[in-house]
Amino acid sequence: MSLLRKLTIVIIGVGIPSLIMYMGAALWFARHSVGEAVRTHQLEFANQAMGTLDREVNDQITQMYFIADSPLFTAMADASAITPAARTAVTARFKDAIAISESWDTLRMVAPSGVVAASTIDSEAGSPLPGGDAYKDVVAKATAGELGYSDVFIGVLGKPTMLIAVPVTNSQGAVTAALVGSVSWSRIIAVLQGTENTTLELFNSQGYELGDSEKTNSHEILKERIASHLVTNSAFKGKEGTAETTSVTGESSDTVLAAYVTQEGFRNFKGHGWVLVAETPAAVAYGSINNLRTTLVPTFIALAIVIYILIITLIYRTLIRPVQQVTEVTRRIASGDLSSRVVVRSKDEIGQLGTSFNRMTDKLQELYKGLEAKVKAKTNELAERVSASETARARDEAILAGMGEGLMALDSQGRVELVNVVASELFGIPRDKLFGRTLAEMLDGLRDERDMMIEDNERPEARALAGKEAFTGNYLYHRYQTDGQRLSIGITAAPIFSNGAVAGVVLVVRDITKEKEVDRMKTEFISLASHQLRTPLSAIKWFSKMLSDGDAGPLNKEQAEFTKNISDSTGRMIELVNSLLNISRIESGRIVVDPHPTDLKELVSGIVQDLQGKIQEKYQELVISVNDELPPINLDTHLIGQVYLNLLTNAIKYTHEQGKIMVFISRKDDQVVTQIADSGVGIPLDQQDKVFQKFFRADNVAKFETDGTGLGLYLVKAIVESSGGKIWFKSEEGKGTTFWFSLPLSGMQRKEGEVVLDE
Amino acid sequence: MAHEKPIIMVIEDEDLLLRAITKSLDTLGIEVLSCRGAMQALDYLHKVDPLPDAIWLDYYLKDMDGLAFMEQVKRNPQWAAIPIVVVSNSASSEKVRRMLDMGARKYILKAEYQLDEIVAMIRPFMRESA
Repeated sequence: MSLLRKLTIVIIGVGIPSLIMYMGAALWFARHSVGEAVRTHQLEFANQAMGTLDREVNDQITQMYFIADSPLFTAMADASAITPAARTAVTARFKDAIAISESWDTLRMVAPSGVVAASTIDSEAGSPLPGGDAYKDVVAKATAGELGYSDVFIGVLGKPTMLIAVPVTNSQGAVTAALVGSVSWSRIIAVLQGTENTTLELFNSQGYELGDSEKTNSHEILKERIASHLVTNSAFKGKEGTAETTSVTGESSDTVLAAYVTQEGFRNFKGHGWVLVAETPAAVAYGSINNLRTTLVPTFIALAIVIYILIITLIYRTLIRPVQQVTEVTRRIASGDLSSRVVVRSKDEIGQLGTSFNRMTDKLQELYKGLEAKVKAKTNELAERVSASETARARDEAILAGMGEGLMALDSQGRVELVNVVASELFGIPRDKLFGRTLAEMLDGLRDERDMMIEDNERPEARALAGKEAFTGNYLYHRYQTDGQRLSIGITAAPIFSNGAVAGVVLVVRDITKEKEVDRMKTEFISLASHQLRTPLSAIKWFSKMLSDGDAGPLNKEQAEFTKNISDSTGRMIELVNSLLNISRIESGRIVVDPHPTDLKELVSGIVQDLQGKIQEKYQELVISVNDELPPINLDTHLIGQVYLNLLTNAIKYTHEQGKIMVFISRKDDQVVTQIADSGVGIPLDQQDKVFQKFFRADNVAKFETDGTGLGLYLVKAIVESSGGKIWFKSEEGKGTTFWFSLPLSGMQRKEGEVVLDE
Repeated sequence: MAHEKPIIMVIEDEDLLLRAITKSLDTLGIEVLSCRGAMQALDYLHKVDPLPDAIWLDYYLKDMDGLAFMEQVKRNPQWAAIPIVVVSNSASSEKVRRMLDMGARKYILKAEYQLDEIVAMIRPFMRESA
């Protein structure tokens, strides 16, 4: 809801009722005051009127006394015995009085006996007093020496009148007569003067109207009787007061303000309980108020509207419009137009707000421009980098996808982070299934080379992690997920380091089934070939032996020489065939390993013994030194014997005459290390990395020493490594060669196999 | 039964080798009963008298493998006593074991030895059959 509406609601909701209340209160108070004033005025008026009336009546009484006091009357001896002359004088006196004051209807002098002594009504003279009790009463009173007066009544003349009787006393003070005047009531009542708005009405104690200020027909006097009215009831009880009530006379049902006074205790004579009511129609009495009301209300409303408009306009201009303006500018700024500003029209708080706002916006604009520039620069930079990164990624993806081998990367928990298509196809598992899983979970078709289950810590990734270096192994994999084929796979697992800690493993997976197959075929072939070769070799050997033995007849020198050559060559060939066969057996993994606790010293000594011939031939010196504390080690003597044999044979072969060969066997931690050092021809530096290769013979020996298959070291290495040991060497051409090999103290593992090495 | 010349039955399917062996044995004063195959050998065993003092058996024969032949020989009570020496070029340890279990006295690898060496190895057994 807008401020404007809120204000309007507040003003209307608060202002109008307050206005109304205020106006109402004002009016009520005004009315009340006016009423009070009117009533007070009325009461006073009524009192005044009553006072006037009272005075009038009093006047008449006073006149009566005055008359009674004139000598004419005081000299009277007896009114009942009045002389005609006196009578005439009195009557003339009476008539004069009436003529003067005009307030009398009749005047009479009545003797105490009740006979009229004199009267303005000539016919009455000499007769008893006419009229009723009223006359008699007043006469009686006067005769008793007191003032007597009656209530108003319709007299003998048919007009409303009041009787006043005063005593006439002689010089002795005795009452000689009563002077009775019949007041012209209508004259008296004429003193009742109302005002424009106020009427006066006089009532006697019986409730008959005695007259009013409106000068109604005098015939109504004493004719109308008012109904019981609370006003007159109160008045008749002697109370005076004011009341707002219906009209006393009951003529109309208008509301009037009535003031009523009683005659009781009034002035100079105890009245007859007359009541004077002064009435003013309420409408008239409150007329001013009502006028006020009819003029005030619209004025107030008009005023209120004007004030409201003024307030609203003021507020609107000083507050609402500037706020709206600021709002509008804010909106524009929010929607992007940073150039819009507030128009500041004043120096007050609103104006200050506007000024500050503008300053803020200026700063904002500056900032924004600066920011925009920065963002642009950064965005460009980012775009470049993203593009470069994307290119790199695309390239990496291409590499991964294009590799001929399977590649997998695992995180430090062994879960697959990366796997290329080749690996996925190799294992027959979709890439998305592999992500986040461990190989132990997913590659349960993995077996070792003998198709046995692999322990978790024997798995390639586990071994890479444990050894903290690359590990290569051959495995069988049952690909039952797709075609159920049993593949031979080679897995190379290498740990990945990041900041010195292991961050994961990288695995390269190769399908080596074909290789294996080829290998197997090769092995079989070699095996078969060796076997096949041996047959003719045996024949050559035997026949050439028989020849040289002379079984076919004696040989001449040359024949003997030739035969020897044949024999030697045959020997070499047989050796070659044996080596080849041994190698093929070792490579096939079918060699029996039959370890027994072996004393190395004994073993070596035995072999050296067998080689004594060759050693002595070349006048060489061979020294053996074995650590005395070496315990027997579980070794297959056949295999290890072969190792020593080959190494020693080499040492002897490649050392000159009179050279020195040393054998040291010692213990190092959990290994036993054998060192065989010669002072022979050494191995050329540039060929040292090929030393363990099949058929390798270094250039410097192949030339002069033709005897040698190049397989000896290969075999030695194979045996040593499959026994859990290591072999290494150091050599300098012309100086000599030292070979070391280690074997674990724990010895060799027994292995079921099918073949043994040939001697 | 002592004879003047000891008799060895040689079963070898390689003709060349058979000739060499025969010649050599002959030179050494041993009579040779040469067979080219197992069937022939069994045939001889049935017919010949006296029985040989030893059998020189090559494992890989064209008509029957050495194991089967040995089985045959051992089954026959007359022949079971004849010492059999297997002289072969293959050395599958499995085969070796089985032959030895069957009763072969020795398993010799041809190519390793000169003929006279082989004979020297057989001689001790021959004495027994007497």
